[in-house]
Parts: sequence; structure tokens; C-alpha cells
Amino acid sequence: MASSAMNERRNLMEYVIVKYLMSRTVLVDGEKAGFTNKIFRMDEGTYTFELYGAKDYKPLSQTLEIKGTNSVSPKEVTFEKA
Amino acid sequence: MGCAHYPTNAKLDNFDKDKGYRFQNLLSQENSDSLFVILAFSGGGTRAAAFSYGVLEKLRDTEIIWEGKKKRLLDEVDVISSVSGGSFTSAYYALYRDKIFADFESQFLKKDIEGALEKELFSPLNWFRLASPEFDRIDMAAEFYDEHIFNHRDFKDLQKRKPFILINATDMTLGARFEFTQDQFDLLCSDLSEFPISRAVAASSAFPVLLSPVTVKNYAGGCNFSEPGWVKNAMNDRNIATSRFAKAMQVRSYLDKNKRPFIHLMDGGIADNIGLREPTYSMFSTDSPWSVLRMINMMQVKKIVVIVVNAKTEPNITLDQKESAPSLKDTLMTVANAPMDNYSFETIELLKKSVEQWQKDEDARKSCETEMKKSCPQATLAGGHLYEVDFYPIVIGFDAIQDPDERSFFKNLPTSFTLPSDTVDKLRNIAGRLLEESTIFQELKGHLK
Repeated sequence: MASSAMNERRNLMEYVIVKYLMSRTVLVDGEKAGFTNKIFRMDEGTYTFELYGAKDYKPLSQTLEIKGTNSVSPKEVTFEKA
Repeated sequence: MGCAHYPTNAKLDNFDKDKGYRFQNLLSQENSDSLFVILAFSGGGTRAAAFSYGVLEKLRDTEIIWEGKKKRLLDEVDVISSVSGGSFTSAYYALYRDKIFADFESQFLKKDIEGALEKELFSPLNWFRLASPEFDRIDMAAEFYDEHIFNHRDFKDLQKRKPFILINATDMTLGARFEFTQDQFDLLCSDLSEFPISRAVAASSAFPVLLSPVTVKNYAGGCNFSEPGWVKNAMNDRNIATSRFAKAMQVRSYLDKNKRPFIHLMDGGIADNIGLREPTYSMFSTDSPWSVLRMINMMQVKKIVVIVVNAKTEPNITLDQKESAPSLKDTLMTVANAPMDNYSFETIELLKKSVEQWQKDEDARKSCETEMKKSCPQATLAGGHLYEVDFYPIVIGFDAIQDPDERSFFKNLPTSFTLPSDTVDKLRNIAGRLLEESTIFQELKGHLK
């Protein structure tokens, strides 16, 4: 994808844990991008989190700002059984 | 004759993520995802093409054992991102694979391409064609590459297996990178599969002034395209993630064909002269169409090797020896090259710093776990262990040559599409030698036995 030179300074990684009662694949902005209950890495920004597969959880999606996390204090995103 | 027109890119009837030249649509076959190898080939005319070719030769000759299988390191290359002169090598390899080792020298590296292009330019037949506003010098060059180097092959003729080739050009309006991938062409509702390889390479190497830009038509809005999910969210990131917001703005700039009915593309080196920006983006963002970060999070990748092949020169300029003002030519060369060189340096630093930070983050989490277990042995951090990946960032360039005379020889080579045969051979050889001398490459080889 196109991107301008000036605007490509990298930021530090952000860290997220998506919590759910069982192991499921996590969708970030519609793409498979990690597993529930496992810490994973992202870039800073606003993202929509969902679980892949059966829609047996709530809320069905969460759109959150991810910024200012670190590997010891990740952002926690929690889904519950519907 | 006066009606000559460049070949227009085809319209895409229906957007389909499962079709077209994209990373996800290529087969892996014997190429594992767990060892992820990225090559970045810089610009620099035939010098860059020969230097990057030498790296391919070295990787061909490097035997490894990965996951119990003996293979060549070359067969584990997943992505080649290239610019300008480096794009000749990457495109040729993407089309012909090992055949490159049989005929790339005679087909390109040791041909007087520059002389042949001049001959075409001065041919009376082409004067009439060049008089057309829709046919320019770059179109003539692309025709020559098509006929004499790439044998009329289109993107649909590229091999359907990895490595994925990113031929990078620069969008003149945005001053931003433009890739010849279906993901990029989706934005224009255009079908890349019918697009000549030669034209992509010509765009990638269309150095301003010397060559005119390549033009592609924008058909956006007529193919049921749905933009990637991240774009809508990134439009909210103006204040919290400005680079992500800027990328989203760029993506959307293509979606209004009335505002941008034509996209003009020039040398990829203007936006990124080492072809490393997109690989870096892919390694550290989940937004890239071929995000390596997503693959890491899915625990598919164990080792990442990035080999940057930078054919940057540093001619001995004696400007400061004279009181008189430098010539217009010297001034223009500085204006053209200094920003590109500075930006390339910054890009490499960015990669190194990102890798360092990645490792520091892993160490911080491990230290925290260790401290916690001292007082509470059963305790674990929420989210468990952070999935670890080994990085091997390797940069090869003429700066690393120890012998001053030899270094000076390579750093004073011209940027042109013709070089003496023995210079081409020297470039091939020094590429292999510099890679072999890299301590990180040695470490990698040690880990792949």
C-alpha cells in the first residue's frame, strides 16, 4: 500500500490480551491477528476486535484505542460468553 | 504514427481477494512460513541489479537445514521488495527462478541497455511516436524491456509460489510508495494480471527528468471493492497514530476516480531507495496486506531474516576544493541524491531500532516474570509468555569493504544501465563476499545447521 516517506516513523510496539473463557482466534479489523488469552503485539491506533467463528460471545465487537501499553502492562480486551 | 498511446492498464470487473497477485494467493510449497526471509534490493541502475544478483547467487549456494529438511537458503525467500535497478533482478527472478542464473547476465547485466535505449530514442520511427502526448520516453523504454528482457510477460505469468515480489514505484502526487500488487491495483479497480512486467519495472526505474513517469488509469468505484477493515478505524487516528491516519488518507485518495483519473508513477527510489519501508511496515503493523506481525501473533513465524542489499555509492566529489560555485549538474545531483541517501540511512536505522526495542520488550516481560516468581512461584503474568521470534537484520553495502582502494572502486561506480562486463562480475562477487563476512549472516547459518 502507498505510504508517504514523512509519515512512516515507527512507533514502539503496543501489547494486547483479548480475554475469553476459551482459546479462540482473534480478528483485528477483520483479519486473523492473534489468539485469546495470549499476549500479542500491535501498532498504535484504533482497532476493532472480534472473535473468529461462532458469534456466541458478547459484545460482538469492540473498537478501542491502543496506545501507551507495554509488554508488562498490555491492554486487556474482555469478551464474555453470550 | 502520431496516435501512439501507452498500453492502458485493464479494468477489474469484480474485486476478489482470492484472485490476483497477492502474498496470500501464492503457494508455499517447500518454502516454510516459520523461517521468513525478506530481501530488499536498492536502486542504482545496473550496479544495483548486479549487486542484488550476487546476493541471489550466494543464497543459492548457501545450504541450510530447517525443520529437518536440507535446502538452499534461496528457497526460503518469502518476499523480495525492490526499487529501480534492483527491480530488474527481482522481476526476472520472479518470472524465471533458477533460469536467472543461466541467462540474466547476457539478457540484461552485460548488455548495453543505455546505448540501446539511446538508439531507440534517435530512431526516426520513434520521433513520430514520441510526438504523441500519450506516448513518452518511458513508454519506449518499457517496450524495449518488454521485447528484449521480459519477453512480453505480464503479472499473470509470474510463478504462483513464493517469493512475493514487490516492485516499488513512487506516486508523483502523493510522493508515496506505489506497489505493483493486486492489493494496490484494487484501489484503482484495475486488473494487475494483464499488466506487463516491463512496465512495472520501467515505472520503478523512471528516474525523474531522464525518463518520464508511467501513467496508469484509475477506474475506482466500478468493481464492488471494499476497503481493508483498518482504513475506517485509522481515519480516527489523526491525533493518536498519525502515520496510520496518513496511510488511510492515501488509500482513500485513490478511491475517487474523478479527482484522480490518472496516476503518474516514477522511480521508486524517490519514496524509498532501498525497498525496505514496506517490509518494515509489514513486520511491525497488523495493517499490511501481508502483515508478518499477524503471522507472528498467529505463531507461524520463528525466525525473520531481512537482507538489505544497498548499492549506494559515494563519489569522490571535489566541490570543496574550489571557491567557485558548483556546477548546475553537481547541484542537481546533490538535490536528487542527498535526500534519498539520508532517508535510506534513516530507514535502516528504523529497522535496527525496531528490532532492538522488540528484544527489549521481550526481556522486560521475562524479567518481570522472574521477579514475580521469586515471591510467588505459582504466579504467571496474564497472557502467558510473549511469543518470541529471532530477528536477523543484515545490511550489505560498499561501506563494509575493508580495503580502501577496493571500497573506493565500488563507491565510485556510476548509476547507469551499462557497465563493463568485468565490473558486473566484481559486483556479483563482492555481494557474495560481503554477505559471507556479515556476522549476523554467520550467526544465521550457525542456527540453520
